Amino acid sequence: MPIEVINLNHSYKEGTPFKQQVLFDINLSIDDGEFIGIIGPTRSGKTTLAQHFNALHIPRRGKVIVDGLDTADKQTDLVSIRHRVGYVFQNPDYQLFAPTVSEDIAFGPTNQNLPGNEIKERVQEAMTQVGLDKTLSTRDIFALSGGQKRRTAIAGVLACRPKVLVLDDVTAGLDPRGREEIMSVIHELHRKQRITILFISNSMDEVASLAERIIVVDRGKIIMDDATRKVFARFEELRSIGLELPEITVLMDKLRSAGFDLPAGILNVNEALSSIIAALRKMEVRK
Amino acid sequence: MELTKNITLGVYLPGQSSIHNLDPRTKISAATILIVLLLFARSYEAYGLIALFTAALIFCSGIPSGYVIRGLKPMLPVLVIMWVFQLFLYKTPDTAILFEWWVFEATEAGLHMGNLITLRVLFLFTVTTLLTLTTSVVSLTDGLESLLKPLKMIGLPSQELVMTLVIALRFVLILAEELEKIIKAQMARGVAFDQGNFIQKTKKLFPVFLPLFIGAFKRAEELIVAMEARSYTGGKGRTKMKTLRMSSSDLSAAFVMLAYSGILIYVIISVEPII
Repeated sequence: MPIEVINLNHSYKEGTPFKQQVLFDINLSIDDGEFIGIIGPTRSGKTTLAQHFNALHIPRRGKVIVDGLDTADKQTDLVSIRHRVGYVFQNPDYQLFAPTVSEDIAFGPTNQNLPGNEIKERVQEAMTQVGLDKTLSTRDIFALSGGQKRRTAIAGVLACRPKVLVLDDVTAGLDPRGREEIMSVIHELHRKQRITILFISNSMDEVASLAERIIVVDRGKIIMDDATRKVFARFEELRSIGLELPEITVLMDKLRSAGFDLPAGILNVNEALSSIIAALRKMEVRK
Repeated sequence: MELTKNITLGVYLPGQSSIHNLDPRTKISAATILIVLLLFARSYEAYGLIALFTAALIFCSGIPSGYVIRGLKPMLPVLVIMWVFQLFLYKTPDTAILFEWWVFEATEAGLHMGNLITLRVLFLFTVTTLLTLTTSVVSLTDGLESLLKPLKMIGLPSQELVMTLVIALRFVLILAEELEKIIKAQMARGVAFDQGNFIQKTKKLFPVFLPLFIGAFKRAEELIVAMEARSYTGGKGRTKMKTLRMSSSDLSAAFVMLAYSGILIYVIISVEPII
């Protein structure tokens, strides 16, 4: 289910003295099964851009086409677009409202007017997908931990069975373990179900380890849109807009500038390890 | 999806106009006088004068008139309902009947009363909006506090009252922003707020208002902690970094207000009230 964005512009508070253009001539296309990281400094427009994908924002200038349907077309069923493109918000508190976990997860499918047993099945499936234990299904929403709340929020969106999942900074404010758990849930979703993932974040470490393609947004414009490795090789540009590179990439750069024969744009620890070994071997040979 | 776009009450629009630069006490007093005079205006002539003066104020403030009018939009349904109620329910013994509808009679007196009340609320809102649009929260607080100081003698905690009021004003916008996010989060799970009958529509509000209320309480709690962390103990012993000072433009503003009030009071007294 591809998403196509053509010459998209967007302004907030149109027609008031506070008018502010936040997106400028955005063009991009997203294919099935991709894992895309959308990164950019805060207030760069990445959330506004992503909210166009599931018709929370309707374009006034430019076009957004989801699965062949123009979101600005009056005939388009926006509710069905929103079920196809799931969106998980940064703060789960905006979404969670039902007394128990399972009731909250059931909210999406209930809006689809599905029969009761189908809803039940989907709730269970979604809970397994995000790794929530069955015993939690009757738990009070407000008694959950931060990580459990995030997972419930993701499950609530997954229960609609989306083909594309937009995750808007879903690891913010979690402790390292909670973060890791959420990341592995997302990784599994992409690997097993082939759900297209759009992962919005300003943490380079997370994006680097999973995304195949990275879109860098700065001040309302897409300034890079390329394979992860190629984007991270342009570290100086990234640094100039206030983004930090993954720690391992920074470390490897330092080693390289200290005279070690290492490739640029190393993204994870395993790659780093093998390239260090290779570099050391070469040095051995030369001796 | 933008809820905050149409909210103008409690919003401050920074500027350098002659009205922006007035002392907050001048502005608050002037707004109070304007509002009080509104309550006495009972003829179309008086409202004509009020409209002229309000338009002049908007012009002087440099705020686009379209933006001020946009703020009235959310009030429209309330105004219409009010007007209809007055039209059918307000009566004087010797008034002419305009038309009848079911068991209700629309009277001439009701029509005028409806018009007057609608105008009154309209200008009440415009004057208040103009005050907050041209005055930052900080100077609004300082001004109100300074004006309410004499009431301390009769035991009124003026500083605390003002603080509460200002926080309430700020929360209008904060809650609207939060509401927008919550509505979006639920829409993302497929809620169609505009579909279904009355009961179904009402039911759809639960997933929105529950998180909103919980969030509001949480925010209030956080605010308390933040204030306490900075040793807020109320008004006792508080000093100001910037003390308010009147300037010559405040004097001219006072003259303008005096002249306007004089003319308006003359109009109010001399013109026969319409009702």
